[in-house]
Amino acid sequence: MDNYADLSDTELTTLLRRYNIPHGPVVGSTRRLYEKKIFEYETQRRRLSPPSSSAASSYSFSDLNSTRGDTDMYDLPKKEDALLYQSKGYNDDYYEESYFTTRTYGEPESAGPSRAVRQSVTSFPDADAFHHQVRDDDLLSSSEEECKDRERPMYGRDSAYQSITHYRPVSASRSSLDLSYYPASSSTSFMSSSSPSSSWLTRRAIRPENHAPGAGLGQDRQVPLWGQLLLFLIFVIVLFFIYHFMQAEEGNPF
Amino acid sequence: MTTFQKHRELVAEPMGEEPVGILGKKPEERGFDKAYVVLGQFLVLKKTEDLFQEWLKDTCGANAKQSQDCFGCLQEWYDAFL
Repeated sequence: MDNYADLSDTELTTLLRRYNIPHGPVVGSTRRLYEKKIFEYETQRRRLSPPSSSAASSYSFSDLNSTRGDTDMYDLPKKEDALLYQSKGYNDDYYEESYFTTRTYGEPESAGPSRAVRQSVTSFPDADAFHHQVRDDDLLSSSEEECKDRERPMYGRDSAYQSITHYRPVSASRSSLDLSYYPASSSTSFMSSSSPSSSWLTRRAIRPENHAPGAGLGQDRQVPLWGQLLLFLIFVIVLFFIYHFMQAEEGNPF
Repeated sequence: MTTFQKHRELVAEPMGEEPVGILGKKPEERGFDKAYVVLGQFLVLKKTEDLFQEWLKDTCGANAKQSQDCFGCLQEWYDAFL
């Protein structure tokens, strides 16, 4: 946070403008506030690389959660506990975005736990390595279906995610023709690693969204389980009360 | 005196040289000794509620309600006199 002290007021203002943080003039009395805001925003961005559609909402969450989020990211893969990992990720609504990338492990985990662990351990600290892993995964699993039809699997998987995937194929098909269009529309995290060809570019953007429905379904399956347990518990309690009252009624007349 | 009464009193007249009052000692130590200095900060932050409340929390340790009251008070005062 102290490194913002080097910045001049105008530089600070440019930063604020770039991040779309609402601000007034940077003067002596407001400087610390804005430094804090920028610090929060940058820690937040480093963590989850948002699509920056809602800058105002995303940077304000960081002051409580930024440090905890970081430790979560790096601790959880070591525990090698996929269930804990998933449930932790979904418990906190704010981290839906940050686990966006980690959801891609949902399918490999179901395929083979050892492979999933290897992937998460090796690729987590480094975003580049992560992308390469995903690329390998692509090569192994679905290069043939990719050859057949690029759009069909997108629509087929899950209707709940239509709204997201719906616009992707358009961008994918367009970006294979027009490379310059793509960097403007993609989220920043997927642009970080270098890519050999345009098809990889498009596919890397598509894959995480493809995986997301699988993880989403997993969550959907989990919730009814809890609901069932809860219902069962309530049912048992109701039965117990009925039993109790019947006992009482029998007991009272005498 | 409740915040509400203070609020009414403040809003009823131009603030002149009134001390900060509502929030007490803390802002005075930070150099915000008069209500109009706080008003100045309020104006410099472009009357943005989040920014002003956050600033108030940082400098004075005001809680959410206090900062909200203060913001509302200044906002109302601003509407009435500026």
